[in-house]
Amino acid sequence: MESGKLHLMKFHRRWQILSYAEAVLYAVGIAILFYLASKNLWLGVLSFVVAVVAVLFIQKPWKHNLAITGTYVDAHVDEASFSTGLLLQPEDSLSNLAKLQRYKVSEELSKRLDTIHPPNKLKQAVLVTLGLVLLGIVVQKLDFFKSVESVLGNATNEIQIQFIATDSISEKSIIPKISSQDISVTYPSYTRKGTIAVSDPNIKTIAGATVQWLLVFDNSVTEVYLDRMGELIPLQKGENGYRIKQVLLESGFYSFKFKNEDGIEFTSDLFSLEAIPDNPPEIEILGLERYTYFDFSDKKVVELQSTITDDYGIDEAYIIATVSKGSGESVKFREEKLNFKETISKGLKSVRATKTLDLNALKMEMGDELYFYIEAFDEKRPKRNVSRSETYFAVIKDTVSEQYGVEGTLGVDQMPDYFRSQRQLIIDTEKLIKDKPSITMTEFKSRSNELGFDQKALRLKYGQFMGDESEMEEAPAEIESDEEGEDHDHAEDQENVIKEFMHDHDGDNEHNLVKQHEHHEENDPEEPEDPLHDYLHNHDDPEESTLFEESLKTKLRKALSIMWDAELHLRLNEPEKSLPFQYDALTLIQEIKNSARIYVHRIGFDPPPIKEDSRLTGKIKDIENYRKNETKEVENPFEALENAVARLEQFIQQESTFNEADNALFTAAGNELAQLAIANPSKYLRVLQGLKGIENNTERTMANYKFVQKGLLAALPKTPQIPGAKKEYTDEINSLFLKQLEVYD
Amino acid sequence: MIDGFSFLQKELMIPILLGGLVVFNSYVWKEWKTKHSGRFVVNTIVALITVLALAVLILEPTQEVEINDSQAVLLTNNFDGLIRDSLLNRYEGIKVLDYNPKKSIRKELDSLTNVIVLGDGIEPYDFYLFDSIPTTYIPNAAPMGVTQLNYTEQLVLGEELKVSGSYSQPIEKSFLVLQDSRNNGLDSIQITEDKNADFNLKTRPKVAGAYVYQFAVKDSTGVVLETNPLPIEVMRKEPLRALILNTFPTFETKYLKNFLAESGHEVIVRSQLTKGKYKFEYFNTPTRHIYQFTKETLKNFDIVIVDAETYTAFGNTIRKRFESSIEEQGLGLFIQPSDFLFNSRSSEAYFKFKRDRMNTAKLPVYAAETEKYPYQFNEQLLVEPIHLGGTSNLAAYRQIGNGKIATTTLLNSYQFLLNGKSEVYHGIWTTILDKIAKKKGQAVSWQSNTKFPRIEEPFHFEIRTNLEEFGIINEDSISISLVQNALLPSHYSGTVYPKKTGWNSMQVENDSTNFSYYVFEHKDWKALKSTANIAANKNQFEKETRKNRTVVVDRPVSLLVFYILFLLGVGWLWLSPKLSAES
Repeated sequence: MESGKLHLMKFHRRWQILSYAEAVLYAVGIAILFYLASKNLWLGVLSFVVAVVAVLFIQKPWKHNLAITGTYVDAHVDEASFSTGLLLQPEDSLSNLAKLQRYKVSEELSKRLDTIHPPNKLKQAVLVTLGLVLLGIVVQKLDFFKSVESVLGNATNEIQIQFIATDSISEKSIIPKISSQDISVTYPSYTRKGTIAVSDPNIKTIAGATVQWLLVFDNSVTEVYLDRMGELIPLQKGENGYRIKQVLLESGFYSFKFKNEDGIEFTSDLFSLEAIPDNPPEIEILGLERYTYFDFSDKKVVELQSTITDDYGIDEAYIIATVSKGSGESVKFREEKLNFKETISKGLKSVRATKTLDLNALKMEMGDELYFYIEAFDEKRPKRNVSRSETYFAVIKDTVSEQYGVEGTLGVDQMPDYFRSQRQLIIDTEKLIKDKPSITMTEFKSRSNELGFDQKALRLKYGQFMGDESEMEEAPAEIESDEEGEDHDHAEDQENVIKEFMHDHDGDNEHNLVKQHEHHEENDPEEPEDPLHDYLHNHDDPEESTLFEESLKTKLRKALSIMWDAELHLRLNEPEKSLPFQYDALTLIQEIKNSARIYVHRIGFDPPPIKEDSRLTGKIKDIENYRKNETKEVENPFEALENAVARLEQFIQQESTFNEADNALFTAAGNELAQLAIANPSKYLRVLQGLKGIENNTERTMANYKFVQKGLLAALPKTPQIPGAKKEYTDEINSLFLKQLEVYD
Repeated sequence: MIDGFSFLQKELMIPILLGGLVVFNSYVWKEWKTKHSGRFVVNTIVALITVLALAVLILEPTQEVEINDSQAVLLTNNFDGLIRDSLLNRYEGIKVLDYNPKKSIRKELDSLTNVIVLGDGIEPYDFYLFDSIPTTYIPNAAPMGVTQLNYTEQLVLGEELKVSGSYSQPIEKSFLVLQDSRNNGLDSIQITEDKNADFNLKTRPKVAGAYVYQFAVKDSTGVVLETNPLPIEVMRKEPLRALILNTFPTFETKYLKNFLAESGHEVIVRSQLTKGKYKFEYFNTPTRHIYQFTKETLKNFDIVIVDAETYTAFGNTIRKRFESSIEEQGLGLFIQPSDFLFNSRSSEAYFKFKRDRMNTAKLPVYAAETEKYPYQFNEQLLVEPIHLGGTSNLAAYRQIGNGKIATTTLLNSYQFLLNGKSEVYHGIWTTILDKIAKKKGQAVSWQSNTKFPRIEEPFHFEIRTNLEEFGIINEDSISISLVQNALLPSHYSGTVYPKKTGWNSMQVENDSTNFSYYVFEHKDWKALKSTANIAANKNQFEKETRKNRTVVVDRPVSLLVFYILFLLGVGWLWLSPKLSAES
């Protein structure tokens, strides 16, 4: 009686199962497609789940109920006479006729239902799945998603250290891989940076940092080494991998080497280690002129503002102030170390430090000078970096000392103060030219004029040596220099004071008075006005002065006239034009000074004359021939590089292929290049890596050959000039021709 | 008259005639039974004529005709379309031929009475085709690009590679860059005007081997407009064997000796200590005694450096031995100068000097100044100056046979070393010693006569050798035949047609000396090739215009007559049995 309904339910379940199967089939197809396209199992699984859910939601097989199944059966089984619905209704609620029909249908359905199939698209699903799989295979073969994959996959590739077997034959053996790599850079403690984990094996960090590598391999390996510029350092095996610590003091390269269980050696790519030195602190002084002048009545305060910066932290900074008192030989210095107003806390990267320097507090008086500079230290260990600022000057003008000049004419106080040498003048003139844009026109003119005055003073002073008297009343008539020869001149001058008032009969020129007279008239028309002239031995006349020998006199005369020009241009406010004259004057003055030195003839050994007839007649039978044999190694530091370039050219021209002997060549070339590359690792790193790639058979490609050759050619230094023999064919005809030529010589 | 006839289908002649014979014979055999009737003979004759007419129809007879008004214009590379069109307008019925060096145009040319060549011209190796045809060449204007080029194709490591030439119609502000084989820039020049620019680039190659340097043209922004290959071969210098003889040790000798020894040369120094006693120093060579200067001893040296005193102190016989070694073996002799050398007025002196009172000389190339003796070289026939650092009167050599004798007026050149200018010192002495050092013998000398060999175009080369019997093989070990010069038996010439671009090589059989030549691609140095072609064509076809030649051409004879003959014959043969049956 119930068998009909049972069958109907069975049929209904079958339908549902088929629907689910269909969904799964579709999902399998999609998953395989995704897996093949992406080569990623997880992506495949994920797409499978998504596809199942998606297809199920579209088909909604759980929504199938018996009523729909009944309708379907009604439609497909004639015998059901559209009465399947009766089976689903409770028997009691039916009329008798209906019960009869229900029974009939139940009987029929039990027989028929096995023969019909629930509607399904299983075939279609299988076809679609197959189609998707095929598409997947095609996509995989064509590598449509290569670029996508490279974008996705490279992130891991680049950072992960890859290993390559140095022996190319044993590719089939298992290549142990790094399952985890951990590079950490421990900065020196003073940097306060602590330890930073980096992902890029090309390490660029401060010198003195400690780098630690922790490598974990997925297979067991032995003899793990760090190859740092040819130096092999073993890695320590720890619980969870291999570990090595290295202090980075200088730039270089490194790679890893290890052997797997079969004893096959593997090597990693080459990576750079770049040590960046810790820079000393930088000091900047703001808004302060190099020279500050104060009058005594001013408020003598220097406001010092500065910024001090360092790349990792300042340790200490202070001001060194030196006070100089007095001048000349009585100068005294007092040095003080002053702290800034702000306390400088250690480790700050940038500090703004100020200080008010009160000159009074420094017990400075008139004419005293203060020199100060800032000194700053950073925290580098073991030795701190120091830097100093430029030196600044603060001067309290000494108004008193200028009064000496007035008294100079009295010839009592002959203090050579405030007297600028030619060299000093040049320095000041150059400074004036440099300052020109920043100062006012009036100041420029006044300073230029002052320099002109100094120049004049100097000229007058040198004029003294020539016997020139002072020309200008404003200038001190008697000026002495503290330069060499001073004492001598001074004595001479003192003498002259007396000499002027006496008729020196012992003088050299006594008998030449007449001649001198004529001479003087030509030179100096004012001279005859002096009635005493003829009777004096006049040192005032430059031509007459006997202080220097004749050639020196002309030189000095020349120097004086050049000083004239120098002064002229200074007075005209043209310091630029004045400078060449000043330099000329300086050279001449130097020459004059040097010639004033006294040279003493050295007494050497005067050998007695040799008798020519007995010369070379000594007995030489005991003298032996001397023989020396030496073999010098020709050192060409780049021999392997040169050979590698030539060899690479052969590879590129495809005249030859890599063979065993080349291994040694490229290893040597790599070592030579590494030597070149120490100074600048990042520049040559790619070339070195390329070379390694050729060496260990991972990158023996045309593009790499070309790249490496280009790098090597650029790295090679100039060819040294060395003579040598060339090969040449001697042609008969040429020889004959040369012979004939000689006939006509 | 019959000479003027021939057949187009000559190759079919025999089969057709045989076939005709068979047809005729079968006719005769078939008609044999009617031989007694009067028509047999007539029919046979008619049949013969018919068969012959048929044969002639197939063989297509031709007749020679003389013509003298068949012109053609031959279009070669880069021809000017306007000129072609105006020629086509001017001469009616002028033929247009395309020139392609790979395809023979001999056949077309045979029927022409004169040819006008347009464009860059015919390849010089095809000139022979035009020997008998009056040809007019209308040249192209000079093309844009490098139109002249000279460069050192073969050099020794340390020598300068010089590339010079001229560039026609350059783009203003563009750069000419000399690059090495991997495009590292080595030297460049910027063109400032847009007229023809001469350029001169140089560099010193860093490594030995065969390389293809590049000559690139870049615009002012650095974009490469074109590159052309410059194949060069850099060879290594071989170490020298030097002998230094001094009467007393000098600083000059000491530093020169050290320089030579440190560069890996074999050096033997003999300086006199006292009468009959010497100090021998051997560098990079085993100890051996050098007392006698026989030819045998001197043979072991490439260069002898001797001070003037020692050399003049030698007796006449020894000096003769030296001279003959220089003359025959090519030994190089360097005489170290001293006042003694300049003051000797002997007539046998190799060099004559005159006083110039200059104690220093400038070396502009090195931006340095050097001390010198106050003398300079007098001009002499066989004395050639050696250019040192940009000056030419500091050193000179005299050619004696195969060898050279040199000296210098340089004084205390070792001071360059002491001043840290070792580059100048090395440069000076390398130049001098390279010039005079004995050349290592070479059995064969090769010379390429085709400047720019290209694929499948003839490459002419020349060989000079003293070898009596030898063979030349190419890379595939296929031997290449040579032509020996009738007057100079040591000179040979040959031609090959290179099969691949890039480096090709040939070598002497059973010998290691090989000769590499670079085969250019067709796109390389186009302007240069065009210029050369234009010049060659101008030269070839400039001769006075010859009269149109008369050409004999085979014209096909009209076949209508034979066709009618055949129809009539066949008609008669069809009709005749019917007529005889009626009668």
